[in-house]
Amino acid sequence: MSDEGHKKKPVSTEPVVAGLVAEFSDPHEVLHAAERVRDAGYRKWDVYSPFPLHGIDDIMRRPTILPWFSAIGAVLGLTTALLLQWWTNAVDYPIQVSGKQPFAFPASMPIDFELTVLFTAFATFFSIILTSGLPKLYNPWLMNDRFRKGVTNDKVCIAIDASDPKFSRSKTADLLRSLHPAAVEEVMIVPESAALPAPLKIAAVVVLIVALVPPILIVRKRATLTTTPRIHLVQDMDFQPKFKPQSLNPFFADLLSFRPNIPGTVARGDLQLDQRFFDGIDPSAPVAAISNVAYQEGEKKPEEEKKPEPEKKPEAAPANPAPAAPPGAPAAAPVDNTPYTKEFPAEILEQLKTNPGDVMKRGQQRFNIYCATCHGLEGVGDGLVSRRAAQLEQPTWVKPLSLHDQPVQEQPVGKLFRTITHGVRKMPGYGSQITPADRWAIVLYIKALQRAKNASASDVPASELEKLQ
Amino acid sequence: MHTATNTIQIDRQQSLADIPLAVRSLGFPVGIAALVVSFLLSYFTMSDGQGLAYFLNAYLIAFMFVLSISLGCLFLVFVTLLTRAGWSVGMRRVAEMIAQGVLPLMILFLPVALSVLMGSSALFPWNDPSLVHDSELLQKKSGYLNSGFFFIRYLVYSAVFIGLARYYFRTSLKQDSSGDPELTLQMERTSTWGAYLFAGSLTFAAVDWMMSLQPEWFSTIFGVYYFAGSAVASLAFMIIVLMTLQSRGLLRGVVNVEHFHDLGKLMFGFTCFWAYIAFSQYFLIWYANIPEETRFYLVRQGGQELETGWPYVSLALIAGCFVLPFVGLMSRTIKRNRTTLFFWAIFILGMRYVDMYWLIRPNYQPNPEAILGPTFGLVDILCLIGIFFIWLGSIVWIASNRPIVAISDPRLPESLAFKNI
Ligand code: HEC
Repeated sequence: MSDEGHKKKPVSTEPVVAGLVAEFSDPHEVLHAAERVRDAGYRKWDVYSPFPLHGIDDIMRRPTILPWFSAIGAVLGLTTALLLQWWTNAVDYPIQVSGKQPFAFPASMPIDFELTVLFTAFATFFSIILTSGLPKLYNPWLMNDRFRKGVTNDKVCIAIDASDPKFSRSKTADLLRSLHPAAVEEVMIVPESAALPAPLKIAAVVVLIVALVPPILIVRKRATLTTTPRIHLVQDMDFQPKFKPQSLNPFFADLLSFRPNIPGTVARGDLQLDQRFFDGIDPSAPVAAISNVAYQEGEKKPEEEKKPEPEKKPEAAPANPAPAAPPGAPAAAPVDNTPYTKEFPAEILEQLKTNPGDVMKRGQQRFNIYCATCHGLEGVGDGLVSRRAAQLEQPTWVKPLSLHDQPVQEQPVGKLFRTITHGVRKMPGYGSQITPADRWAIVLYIKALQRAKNASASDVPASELEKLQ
Repeated sequence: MHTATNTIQIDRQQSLADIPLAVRSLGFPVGIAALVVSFLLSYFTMSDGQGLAYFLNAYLIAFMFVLSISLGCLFLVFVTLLTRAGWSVGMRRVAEMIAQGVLPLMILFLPVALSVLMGSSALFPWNDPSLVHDSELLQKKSGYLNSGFFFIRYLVYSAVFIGLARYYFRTSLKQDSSGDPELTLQMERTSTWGAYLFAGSLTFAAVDWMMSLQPEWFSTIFGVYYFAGSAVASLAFMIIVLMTLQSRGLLRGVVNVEHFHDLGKLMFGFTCFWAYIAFSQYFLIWYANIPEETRFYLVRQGGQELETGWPYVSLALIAGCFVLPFVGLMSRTIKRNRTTLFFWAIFILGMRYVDMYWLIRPNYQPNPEAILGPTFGLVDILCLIGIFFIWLGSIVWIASNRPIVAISDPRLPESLAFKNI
């Protein structure tokens, strides 16, 4: 930078002295030479070497400040990691993970460690570049052949800048020669303007403008409407040889690709004859009542969907006066006289006989997956979703019923089964996600939960009871 | 690049024989006396048979601590060979000598091994048939944790440790007289599979001799934990020994500030490694929160009902084995200054003992109703003195009259000319 001043003024093409370069072939000599140059009081000089020179920075009295940058990077990294984890985990969105504190120090350590290392590496890397004076576009020494070839190979050079106040062509050269170098050379350069050459400037402007094109295009596309179809880069993924529902299909006379059921056939797995198992309905009930149920399903007649819901309401309402804000259910709804099965279907009973634990475990597992999010692990209505909603004071949230409420306890198993299948009022149905057998397992588990809530001391085996007392 | 312009004249006769005779011959009598006094003290002053359990516990702490120094030095020997390190050649002989300490140590383990063989469960609960009878876990482990196999494994570890230590020492001594550079290559080749033997034996030895003190507990990183501590301990001990020898006129010029700087760097690095391993062990157990794993830390960290004093030892461990040395040893100036480096070596070596104490002492629980806090007394000090002196005495005895520098190693000039960047 300081070169600028004295090189800009003489806009002649006369070469001037940029400085002196002394070349050494023995790195040990350089250390002594550097000591002498330093003691002679020079300031603007440097040692160039293709390999690390031990102890040269001590001799040149240029202690590196690099470690401080690294230290600052480390401290910044650690602080960032701690604040980031503390803010996101404990303040902004506190989450409980397996009973740990929202912000637990041991759990934060790996990230503390990683970010500390990352920031330290960045700080070190960039400060190496900056403290070495890079990027450097112009270096007068490189004008000298001997310097350029030597320093990039196996020679070490000391270069003294002509702008040093102590610099004198003859005296400095004498000093350098007295240090036993392999050669001393004066570096002559034709002074040039230190400003960037015009072609470079133009090139830089062009590159900048071109670089702006992609973002501009993206912004434009996002802001405008178009009727032209989009560009398909991956043709065979975008256009697959298949028919989509509701599309035309010239192969069939009715031009539908969606095929209707063939009369008199049932698709595999759709033959659900066991009404107890698949519907939770007692097959021994009068035919009229059963057909009424089929009608209530609302599967084939969606407009009927709301009908069974009000029917169930009155049963819950009187016994449970405060089921957390029940939605506006019609007051005068007919009594629910669906013939729910009061027994588990034969298939489940069979399994219970052979390996009861399996069904119960399965039920527990499915319950914890599908139901516990709202109803809580014990079924009292304190699931994570529910608690979060309460915390956020969501006005539309209906608190899930406790499965231990009197009316729910008294429900026949078939009703519980149908609640899972079709949902009830605000609760969605899970029939499409959970297989019938799993639904029954869940029912079994709910029954167990309810029983456990009302357990007395006499339920505990004598041996365990002793321990408790 | 570095032509050794400053060739140092090494006195070929330099050996430990230059140490005054009194110092050399003191080891055995003092060591044996200390052990005997320590045993009698605990045996006759402590009630209802707890004396033996306490003595063995104290004995094991001292044993594992001293063993970690010798094993660490053995590691230094073969790892510098394996990496073809030049800088360390001048001090390798000293490490080889300290590694000879495994010989007396394996004999010193005999009382413990024999007591197990004779059915004592004073130290290892898994040797108590009634306890095994009550615990399904211990029954499952009894195929490994039984006195016979325990003894066989002890013999195997002894063979490996002693075999490796003797091999390097012998071969390197042979080179002193023959000057055959091929021997260095041979030692390098042995180090390849030797490293596996060493790592396996050290891991299982740590599991057998320390982890199985609490037989239902397990940690898969335990062997590495002990190894990391050994490396730190041996580097600290090397620094202390080299400086002491130099103050007695040995090794001057062979080991200089550059070498100490490197030892300091390694000590710093392995301190971090130890912390990394210790944290990894703690972290996974803490996070998984499985009862049979957490019981190890339950005693040492303390819950609400467990205000025993162990938590303070744990905190001291974090501070003394990692935080303080980490900050203290970070600066280059400190590592290149003899006094400060010596101080940190002493400090770190002391903390290595605390680490072993922290691992082993909580297993001495005479009263199943209440957890016993940290105890420390004359028995512990005497055990440490006893084992340390017998160990040191044997090393001096084995090593005296042997050259203290591997004079004919082809990389010695490189080591002498070594300079840090
Ligand atoms: C998205 C949250 C949510 C999930 C998941 C959920 N429920 Fe519910 N559940 C509710 C709500 C809300 C109610 C109360 C509905 C109302 O009163 O409007 C309820 C009510 C119930 C009732 C009482 C019905 C009655 O007749 O009063 C039962 C039984 C029940 N749920 C069982 C289950 C089972 C079994 C599962 C798992 C398959 C489950 N729930 C999953 C939210 C949920």
